[in-house]
Amino acid sequence: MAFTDNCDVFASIHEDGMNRIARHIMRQRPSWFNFATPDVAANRELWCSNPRPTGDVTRFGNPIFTIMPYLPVIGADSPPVGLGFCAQITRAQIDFHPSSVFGLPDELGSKLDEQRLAIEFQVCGGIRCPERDYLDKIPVAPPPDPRKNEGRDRPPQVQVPGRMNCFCLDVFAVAHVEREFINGVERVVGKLDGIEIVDVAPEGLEANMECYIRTAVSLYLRQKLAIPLKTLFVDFPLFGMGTVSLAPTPNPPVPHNPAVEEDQLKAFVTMTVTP
Amino acid sequence: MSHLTIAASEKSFEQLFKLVRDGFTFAKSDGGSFGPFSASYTIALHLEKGTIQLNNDGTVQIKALDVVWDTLLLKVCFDFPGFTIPGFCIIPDPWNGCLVGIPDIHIGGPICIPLNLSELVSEISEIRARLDARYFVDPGRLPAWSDLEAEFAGKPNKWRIFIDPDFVSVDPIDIPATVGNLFENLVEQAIEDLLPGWLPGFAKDILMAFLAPVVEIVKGVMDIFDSVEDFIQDLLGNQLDLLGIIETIVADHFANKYPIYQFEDPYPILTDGPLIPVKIPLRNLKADVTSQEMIVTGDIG
Amino acid sequence: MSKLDIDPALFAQSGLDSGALTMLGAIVHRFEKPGEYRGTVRRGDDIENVFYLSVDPESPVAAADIDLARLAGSLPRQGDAADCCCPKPAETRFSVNPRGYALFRVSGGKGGYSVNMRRADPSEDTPVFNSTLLDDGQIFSARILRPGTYSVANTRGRGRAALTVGRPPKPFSGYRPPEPLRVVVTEGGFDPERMDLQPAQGLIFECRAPARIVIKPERTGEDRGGEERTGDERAERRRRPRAE
Repeated sequence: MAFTDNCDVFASIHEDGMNRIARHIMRQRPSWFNFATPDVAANRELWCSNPRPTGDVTRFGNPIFTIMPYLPVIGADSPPVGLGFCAQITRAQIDFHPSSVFGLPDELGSKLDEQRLAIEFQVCGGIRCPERDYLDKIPVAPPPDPRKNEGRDRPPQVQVPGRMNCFCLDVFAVAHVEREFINGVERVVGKLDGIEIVDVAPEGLEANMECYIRTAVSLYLRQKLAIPLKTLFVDFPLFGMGTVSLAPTPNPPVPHNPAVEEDQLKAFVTMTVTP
Repeated sequence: MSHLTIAASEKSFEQLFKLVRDGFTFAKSDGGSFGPFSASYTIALHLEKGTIQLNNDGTVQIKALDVVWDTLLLKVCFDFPGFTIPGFCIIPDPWNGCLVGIPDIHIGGPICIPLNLSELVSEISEIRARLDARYFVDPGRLPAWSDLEAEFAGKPNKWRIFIDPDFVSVDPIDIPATVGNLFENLVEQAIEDLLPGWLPGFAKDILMAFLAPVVEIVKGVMDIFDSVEDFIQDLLGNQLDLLGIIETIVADHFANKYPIYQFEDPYPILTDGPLIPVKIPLRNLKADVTSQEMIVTGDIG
Repeated sequence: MSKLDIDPALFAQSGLDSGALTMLGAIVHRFEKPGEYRGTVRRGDDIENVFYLSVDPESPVAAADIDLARLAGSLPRQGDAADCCCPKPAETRFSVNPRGYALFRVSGGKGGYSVNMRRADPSEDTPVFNSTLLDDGQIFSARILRPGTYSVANTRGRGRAALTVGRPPKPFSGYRPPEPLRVVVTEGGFDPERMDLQPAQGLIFECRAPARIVIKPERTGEDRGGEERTGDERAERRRRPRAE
């Protein structure tokens, strides 16, 4: 069977290639995978994991961390107090149907369903834990008016130092892919179907953490990793040809486009030639 | 299994071929001396039409590719053997022709025939080729540059896939009979133009009367074939070697100048925003055809 | 494209005189007695040059081609400007077998030459040949290009004749003049007395009596109004149907 039996241009990427691409992205865009407050980002000793950015990242002044606001300490408002933290994705890999790269937890069905892909990644993070002595030295200010959220009289946040308590979570996710127009460009976007954090208890905490991570990953896939469809075709020349228009092949004849099958992500395009 | 597979149906390969074909232009002026005559030409041409067939043995066949001569100016110059006022024998020699005779009077000179054959169409009957994926390092790239710096300087490395011809079969340039007639008229005119203006009318009449028919003159000078058309066809195709030139430049265009498919390496995939683009290295690129499609495979480095 | 370099004298002369040779006339004479001969090339009374003819039974030359224009140094220069148009000494010496002939002709220029020859032996100054007065056995050949009617006269005798030259055929017809017409010149006149020629056809006068033959135009193509063709007419004549 030919690749183009039901289309004019076909592109596929194997999960092994996709995982290599994931590693390239993590090294060339470290700030998409490493998040920290300014104090942590500036202090390598506080990092939970040591990213390995390419030389071009620093040569061209790209950041290693996305800078985040300090984690506010509940109840402290006179003055407010913030804790430094970091969250780093240290590993990520993808497995296109059928399962072959890694196994799935039972909660996600052990094996991938058709047209599904699995993502396994490790998140490491930590919060700076301040010494009690330091907390005692923070002067107490007059309490602010709780009816005013903002105000010049509100005392500035105090960021407290402390040692980092790092931990790591293994996260599994199951997703499928869809085509979606984002900012006028047709893109291939991953859509999460399920997520599972390994070995977190109690269940309620796990559910909340999973909710947070699902939300973060869903937005992340849509905002950061939605790849234009034509990128999958690696600058195929017909995409720029005036007398030819290319569009995703519809169903029928192609039931899934993009398709996740045979350990690959596949895309099918049909060509119309303008006389 | 390769990490990356891109396939193009025969129909879309044909569109790719059109891009390559339409990217071809060529212009040249040259000439040469061929014993009794010399010729020079100015040509400009492009390619049109052509059919594509992909084969399971990995070959691409291009047939009936038109060579459109946008400009085909030919100038043929030769030493016109001239007008001869024949001599005659005064005292015959019974054993050896003529003992005393009045010699011929020869009047000759060079004439040039400009021939405009623009808009002529000839044909490349067949090109048989294979796809060839090659890695291109821009010669302007400095050794110290990273891939990103090379991209910013507009000199990135590239993968290029060419239609690399095994052979190009160029048909002879078919010269219509009207061109032969035109050539004869131009020769006639050129000969008459040779005669100086001061020459009295009777002298022109008699000199012109001495001339054999133009075809015979041209045949005599250029040792040509059955017709002027055949001569021009041979002159253009073989003696001036335009067929060889077409064969070479078309083969070079397809094999080296105009890739059917090319992209940067490393290939940029995330380019939006203020950060440096994410570039993915591609390795082991291969290109092949089956009777149904072109298949390009490669690995992520 | 440059024009052909045609000697204007070729078409400027419409008459001929055996005593004043031009490009269209020539004289043939046989020197039967071996020996050294000294010749002078003259134009009118002026001597243009001197040359020598060795009549030698051992000479392999059957026809000595003696170009009076070259001897007179009147040919235009050709090629290297340093190459003088004047003949070199070796070029003023000729030889011929006594059973052969000397051809006196003019290859270019205005012409008007005659030749006078005598024995080179200083003790012998009797002229043996003067081209202004032809005699038995000598030949004057002429070629007339311009169509028209001419008179032919032997100014040293009583001969008178009429001569016509026809019009040339159409261009590119590969025209070749007929064989030359031979005319016998006797004391009684010319035989034949009427000479109808085609353009450039040779005319050979075989002298059996003293003669100086003068051919004068009476009416040429240009004199007859419409007969001289215009350029357009020539172009029209050249046009012919072609096979596609």
